[in-house]
Amino acid sequence: MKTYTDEALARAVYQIAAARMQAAGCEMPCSAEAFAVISAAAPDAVDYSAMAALCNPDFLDAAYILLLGREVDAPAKAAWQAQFGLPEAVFRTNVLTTILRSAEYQRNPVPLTGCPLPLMQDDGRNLLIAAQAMPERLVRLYQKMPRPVQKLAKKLAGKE
Amino acid sequence: MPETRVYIDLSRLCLTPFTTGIQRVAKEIVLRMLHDESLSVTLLSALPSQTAWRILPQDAFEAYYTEHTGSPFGDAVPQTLIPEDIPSDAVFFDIDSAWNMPMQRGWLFPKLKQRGVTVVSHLYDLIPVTEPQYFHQQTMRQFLSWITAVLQYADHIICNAEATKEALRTLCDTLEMQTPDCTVVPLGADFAQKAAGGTPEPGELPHLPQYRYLLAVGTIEPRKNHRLLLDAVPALAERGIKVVFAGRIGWNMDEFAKEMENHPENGRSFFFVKAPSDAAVRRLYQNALAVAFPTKNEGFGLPIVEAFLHGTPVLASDIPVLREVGGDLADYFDNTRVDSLTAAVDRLLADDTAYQAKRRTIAGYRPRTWDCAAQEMAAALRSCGSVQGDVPPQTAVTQIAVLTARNDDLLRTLPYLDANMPFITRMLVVCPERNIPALREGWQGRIQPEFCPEEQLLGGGQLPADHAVRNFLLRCRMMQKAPLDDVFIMTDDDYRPVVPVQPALFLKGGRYQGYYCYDLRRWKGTQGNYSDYDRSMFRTRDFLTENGLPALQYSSHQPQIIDRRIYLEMLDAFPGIETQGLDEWSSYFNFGIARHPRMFSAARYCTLTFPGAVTDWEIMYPPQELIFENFYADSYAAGGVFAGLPSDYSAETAVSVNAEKIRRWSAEMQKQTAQKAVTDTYRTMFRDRYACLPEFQLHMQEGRPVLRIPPLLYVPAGGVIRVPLLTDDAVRESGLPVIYGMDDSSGQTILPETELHLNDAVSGIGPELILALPVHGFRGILHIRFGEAAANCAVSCIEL
Repeated sequence: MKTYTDEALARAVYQIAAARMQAAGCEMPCSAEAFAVISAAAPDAVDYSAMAALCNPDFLDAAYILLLGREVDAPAKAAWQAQFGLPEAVFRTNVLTTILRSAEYQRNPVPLTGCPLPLMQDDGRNLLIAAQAMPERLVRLYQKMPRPVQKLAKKLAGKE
Repeated sequence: MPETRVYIDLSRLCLTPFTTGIQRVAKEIVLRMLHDESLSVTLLSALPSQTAWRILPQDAFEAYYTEHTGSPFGDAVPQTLIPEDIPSDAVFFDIDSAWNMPMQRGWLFPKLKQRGVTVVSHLYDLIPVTEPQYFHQQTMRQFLSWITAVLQYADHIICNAEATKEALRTLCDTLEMQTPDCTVVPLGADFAQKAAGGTPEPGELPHLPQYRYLLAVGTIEPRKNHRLLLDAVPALAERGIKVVFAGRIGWNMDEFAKEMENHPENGRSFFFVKAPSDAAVRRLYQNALAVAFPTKNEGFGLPIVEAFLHGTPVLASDIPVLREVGGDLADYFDNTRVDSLTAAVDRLLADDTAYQAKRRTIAGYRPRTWDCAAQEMAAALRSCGSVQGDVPPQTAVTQIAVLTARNDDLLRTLPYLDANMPFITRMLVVCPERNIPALREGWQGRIQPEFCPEEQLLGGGQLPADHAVRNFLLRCRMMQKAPLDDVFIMTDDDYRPVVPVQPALFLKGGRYQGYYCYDLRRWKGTQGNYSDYDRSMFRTRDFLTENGLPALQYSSHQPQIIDRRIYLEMLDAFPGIETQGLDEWSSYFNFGIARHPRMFSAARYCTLTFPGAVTDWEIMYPPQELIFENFYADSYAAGGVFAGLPSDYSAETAVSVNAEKIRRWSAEMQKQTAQKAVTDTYRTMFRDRYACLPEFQLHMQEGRPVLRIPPLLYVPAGGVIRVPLLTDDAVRESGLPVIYGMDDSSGQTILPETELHLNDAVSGIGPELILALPVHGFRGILHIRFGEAAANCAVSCIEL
């Protein structure tokens, strides 16, 4: 007889249901890995460290369910799929900041704890979406440019 | 006296305005259990935090569900309960649809089980596992989470049908795991009958000739397989039989609803009566040829019972659970074949005399009663959750055993034991051989010492240098070789009872009482300066979790009762652990409570000056009483919590001195509670303002260190605040230290610069800044450097 850890049992049970679901021509709402994380979550806070080991698609599933209380809707999933190839830290920052800033989350905010990602501006007033910020490397490059080139760069970037 | 204490979470029932399905079962059973004298039932409903419950007043609950007055919550200020408050000898019984509750059982059950609470779950069916396609994705996912927790933690499962028990066995076989203990208790069905008066509204029902139609009552949803009935309409029409669907359109049936609406036979060969009144349903039942129940799967099949209660024959899917409920009274068909259904109809139509005889037989049907179901469930709860434990009643404790290398400490502790533990007559002292003569000479009290030289236990082996490794090795050897009673009290040379102690503190109701002080999985120790004790806790945490054992911290620095036979059983189960430097208390009690749950109870500890100062670590579980002192000489020095009090026993002053110690320590703990309230309030305010928690983050961005900290920190004066640092592997691997310090607004140093090396951290323990704050309020700056990154945080220190 096997003994399971909580996570391993969650995955095993989920996979049994997934096989039945597939046989019926349907899809499961999330991956088994995300499900294992979700199954033992505390009701009053979302612990980032529990999700830390997930790959990008699984992280997306878990973050939606834990922070918004629902599965990723199809349009959102399609939009996020384009970013699955991003580095984990960037992808996660994007997902979390988008969720935390959403009106849906703000209506029933569950605190996210233990997240080492840069979700908060230094002034502490709001969150940033890393993908929307100019990459730091470009900023450094820009700072090294001669002034006329800087002006041209600004024009090209539509900032002037 | 009730034999079993039962806690039932009815959060879903209390939030549901109508009681159908599972909520109806929960209501019928619970109302009866409240009057069962063998049970002491506590009804719960989750608070908005979802981490605690309110206790439902039983009279209000009963009045609401029987007389429909008031509210199930009552009017009084609610009494609240957290999972840790449920006693070890109690049963937590889930009969409501717990998978729909935000308080996930994957979170709750481990908390209950680690303290030995018996978990019993009612399993209505396993259809979301076996046929998940019939459920909304969220419901299915929540159910899978729930059943995972049930399989992992439930001590007992109550099923309402043999078919469900069989499905559970099949699932466990597939998972290659042990099937949990299971009892089958069929549901009752003697629901209070609705008033029989009234007639259907004019036009509510189509004209339907008596006994010439099949009736399908209930919500139209995929699992109920109404498709088969619709497909059978033409064949039935050929026989002069119509079909009536009575109910409402459910989840994922929009297309089917459209198809019905546009069907050419709609209103001719079949009819859809949306949301019929009670009178219409009654009329439909009375005149139907039969109720058709082509469902793919069911947990119980109450619609069959309801049809019988109306005297109507039933054509049901030929599945095990429906055969269990319908027995010989129902007729069955293959739910995948229209011709099987029409053949069943043909059999009813073939012989009118036989058909009328069947109706007469069904009219005599008497359903199983809820009283009966409730009694059987109560018996199942009693069988697995008796208040009386399994330790034989004649078990007596007269021996105490101590491990010591410090004669002075033991000689100063013995008078306390002598005076306050009168049931102890003998003490086994395990100590270096050279210490024995002085101990013999120094003690002439009531308790008779016996000596066991540690050299004898070690058999020539050397004592390890690590304090914790040494202690665990000696305790294990003591269990194996020393002249110990089977049941004795184990203590240390500086654990002092400060009030009279009764044996019931250690052994009550047939259960050994184990006293815990912390959850080992959350023990952080002293950051950057781990003691032998801390390292022993980390090792013990890993040992317990890797072996699937609970992980409470029982090293509560107070005497505890030990059953030597169970200790030896643990040593046998895990050969070689005696050299692993585990915590001798936590390893034993967690093992005992997991393997012999009916012999143990877990309770919050009873020690003052553990921790030595309330600021040493955050008290996770406040002591339930203050009975023992963990003696620290420093506590009696100037500035110590017991400054000015005598540190040795005196019969004349013991009562007043010990009372003063308890008073002072209680005040210290209250201070910590107040300090924690400041921190918690600050975190809540910050979260509300910024939609995130005030966390200190360190990370590496393109190889460069980055610090992100909240701009403002509120802290309580006189407290020691531990600020967790959120880091990742890259940060730890960078080898860069974190340097932090604090100045007040005049530039005066409040906290000298401290260096924290992140790679020193023990696996699983996050690094933290430790801010020891002065007792006065101030405003200042906390400055932190991490490599080239630096950040400041304004600090407002509040005087309480």
